[in-house]
Amino acid sequence: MEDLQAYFAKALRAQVGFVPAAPAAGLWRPADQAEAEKFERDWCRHCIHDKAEDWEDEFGNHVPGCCVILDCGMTGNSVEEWVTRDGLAACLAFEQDARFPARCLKTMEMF
Amino acid sequence: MQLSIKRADLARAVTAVGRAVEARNTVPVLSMLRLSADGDCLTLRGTDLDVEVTASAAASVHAAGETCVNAKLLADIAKKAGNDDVSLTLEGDQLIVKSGRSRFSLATLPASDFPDLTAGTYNATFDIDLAALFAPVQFAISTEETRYYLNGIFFKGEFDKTIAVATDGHRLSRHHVAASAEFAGIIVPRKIVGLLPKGSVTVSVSDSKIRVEAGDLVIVSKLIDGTFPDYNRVIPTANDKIITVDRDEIMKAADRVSTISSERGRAVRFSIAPGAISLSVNNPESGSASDEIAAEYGGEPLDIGFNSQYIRDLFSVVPAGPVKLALLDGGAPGVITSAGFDGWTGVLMPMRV
Repeated sequence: MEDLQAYFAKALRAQVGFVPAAPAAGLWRPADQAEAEKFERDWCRHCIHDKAEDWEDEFGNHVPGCCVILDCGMTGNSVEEWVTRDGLAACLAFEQDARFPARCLKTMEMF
Repeated sequence: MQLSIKRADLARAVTAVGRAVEARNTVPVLSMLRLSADGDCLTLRGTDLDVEVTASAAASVHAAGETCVNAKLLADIAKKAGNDDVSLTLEGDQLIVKSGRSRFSLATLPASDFPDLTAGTYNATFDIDLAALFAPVQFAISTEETRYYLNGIFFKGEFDKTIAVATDGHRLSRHHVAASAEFAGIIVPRKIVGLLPKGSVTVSVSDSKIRVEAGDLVIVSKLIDGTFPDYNRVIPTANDKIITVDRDEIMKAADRVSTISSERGRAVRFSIAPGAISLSVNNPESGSASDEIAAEYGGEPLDIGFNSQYIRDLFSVVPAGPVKLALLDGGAPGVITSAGFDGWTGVLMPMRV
């Protein structure tokens, strides 16, 4: 199987110059609390969506400025934005908060 | 306490010390500045319990004394005052601030409640342009809370040079200048780096504190209590594939191809061949991009991936012109140096692409 993958990778590299990264391989759900916490640490902490200010809608209802996706996901609802990519959990709605720049997940570690 | 002071002098001093005060505090006295009037000057002090900034300004002191007053209120009053002269008078537990026809009455706390970080002795004192030493490494300071010992700049005085190093585990920046004094390595917290004045300053260091003095401004900060990693171990010395590229060209090309990359997948593949570097990005959602730049290289072809954001950060430090990128293979860190910037070395870890 690995030989076959290597063969196709070589053919792709020859034809288009690179091997495409793995596409989203399906939706992702945290298996346990530890996984959920890791996801929040890796993604939500660096994203602007969970740091909006509370607001009031046109009916006068208080709407907390938390991330709707995170709120849905952590209560067990279906979230289309959470996917598995290259074997890792990812959020398609991620927008980086410049104050807390995200740590690159694919760069190798020095220490 | 009673004094009068020029509005501009008060505003300058309050702004300088106010940068040490955190916007939100649970301890009331930490949102305040300590004002001490004595002789012919007003001394202001602000702290967050880790950093303490002291600044002085010339004033006509009619009655010596000291008190604590809210930093934000005093800063706003100093900025908005309608007259060039401001008078401060302590009446009971209220500080009366007058400027022209304006009059403000501010709540105070006793000066004895204000914490003091200045106590202690220092092992070495020397003059150095600390802001210039730290500037090229500042970008690499980590923001990770777990590895707190990377949240600052490693600062060490060796017999032949003074070194500053910062790393976040993905990139490392080292800068050294001529020797000032010999002292053991310390980790200077991120916050003080942003407060440093430009130009030569007098620095005193001990095992637990650093003191920076520039004219009437004094900054005292606690150090990060931790062990900085052995950075010499991660700076490769055997990278024999030397590529020389123009700084602006590689930065612009990396920026161009990363246009289509996702927020957290800024991987750029560098295909290095004699005479040229081909840059390519592939994003499953939005497509792919490629670009090519000229490079001086005569070795075997090599493929390596780097985060375009890190490329931009590291190459921004060096001046425009030719930059040397030393590589070993696609899985080993690259070393960046520039003939135009002696004393600086950058190390960048590759990506899995």
